[in-house]
Amino acid sequence: MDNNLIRVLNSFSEQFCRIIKTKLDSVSEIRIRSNKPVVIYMSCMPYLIAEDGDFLPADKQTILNDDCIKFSSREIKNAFARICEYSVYKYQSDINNGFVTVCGGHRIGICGTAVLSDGKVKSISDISSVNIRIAHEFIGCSAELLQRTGIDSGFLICGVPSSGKTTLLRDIGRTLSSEIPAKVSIVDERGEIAARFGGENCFDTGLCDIYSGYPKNKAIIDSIRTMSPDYVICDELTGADVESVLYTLNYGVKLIASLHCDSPETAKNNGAFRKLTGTHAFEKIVFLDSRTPCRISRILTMEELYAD
Amino acid sequence: MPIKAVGAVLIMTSGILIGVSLKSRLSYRVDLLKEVYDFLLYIKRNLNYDMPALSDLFCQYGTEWGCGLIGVISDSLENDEPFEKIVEHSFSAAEIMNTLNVSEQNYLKSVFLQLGSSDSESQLMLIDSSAAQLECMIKESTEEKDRKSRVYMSLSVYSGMIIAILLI
Repeated sequence: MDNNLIRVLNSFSEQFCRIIKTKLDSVSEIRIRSNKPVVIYMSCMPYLIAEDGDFLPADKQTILNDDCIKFSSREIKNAFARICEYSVYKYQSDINNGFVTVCGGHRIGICGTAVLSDGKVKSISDISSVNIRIAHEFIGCSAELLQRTGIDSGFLICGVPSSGKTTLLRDIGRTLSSEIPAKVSIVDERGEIAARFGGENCFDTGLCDIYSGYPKNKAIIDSIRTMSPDYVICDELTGADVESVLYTLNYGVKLIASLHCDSPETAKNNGAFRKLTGTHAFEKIVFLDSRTPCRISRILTMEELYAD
Repeated sequence: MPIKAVGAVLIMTSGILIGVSLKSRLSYRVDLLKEVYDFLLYIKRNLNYDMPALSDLFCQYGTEWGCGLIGVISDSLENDEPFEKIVEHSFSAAEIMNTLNVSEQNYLKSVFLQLGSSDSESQLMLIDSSAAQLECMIKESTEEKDRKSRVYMSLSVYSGMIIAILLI
């Protein structure tokens, strides 16, 4: 049982924590909105939680049910303060980006009213929605992927949120660094891959060097300059990361990264995807199944992708 | 006669002990305020370089130096309770409740509860203003200690002597 997650759930209420604990292995997301029924996602299906602990499939009738577990905005505020260890300053930069990653790698997305300063988000007040994304560790889940892509070049993993991109990257890092063994640097900007807390990794990342909390661009360049990696692993690339992607290419470092994108068809219209693949840093593109985490849907070479 | 003399000595001694206890309570009050003041500076030093969680700061300070209020709070943090409850419980410890007056207790509680509720910039501003306020409180309580401790000691010795003389 993941004590870090239990602590997060306990921040809302003990009863809520007790109920969720019974299904923890199959829960992928918990969505809490002020004065609205809590929705949990199990096997990609939404469920509501009745006061008596029953899980009701969410539909237009059950959502109106008054007997479902709800939290007020004050309860959410107090729980969030507790999740942040009553140390908002420690998580401020993450909060400004709309999330907090807690020990265990679980990402807690937040939504509320932005407090702006000079056009930038300085803080978020009146938090009205919280989305707890539960991190899972599947040792060995990347075996099939590595077998099919090979390890001689970089590749890009594409999938919708919760399709297992981060879990795969974590396992790829562990496999490459401890089974090959190669020199691997992990750029963990959001602290989800290794979930580093207090100098310790919450997940098994083998012998990887972890750049935790760094901006992606800086971490990629720093790692190449100082850690001489064979591979750089990086989560959630965007179009703004093209420069550092080119940097890895110029230094002969293989980049394994992920990108939010659901299918080859939408990928071709995705500006970030086009920019990133235009660098030729990725020889293959892996598309993940949107319904089953970590399951490969298709693996295409660049030629195959654009020939389609 | 010897019994009366022993009784007189005992009364005088207890008078002095009451005086000493009242004096030490005043000293302890100053120590508690100084401890919170030092703790705020400790947080400030750590925030300038590192970003440890508030609970870590309480525990580090409590383990190394805290024997009063910070020590009590850092011990209670192990119980994984809401911070408001921990602060409330810590102030209800008899020694602290009897030493600090209500306004001092309320002020310190509000300082503790505001500590981790903002970004580092606002946090440093809060620490500066709270430290300035605490400096004034320390100065006032030190003056009060100096003034009252003399009075307590003289009163207890003289009243002990008077009772002893009356007894004899």
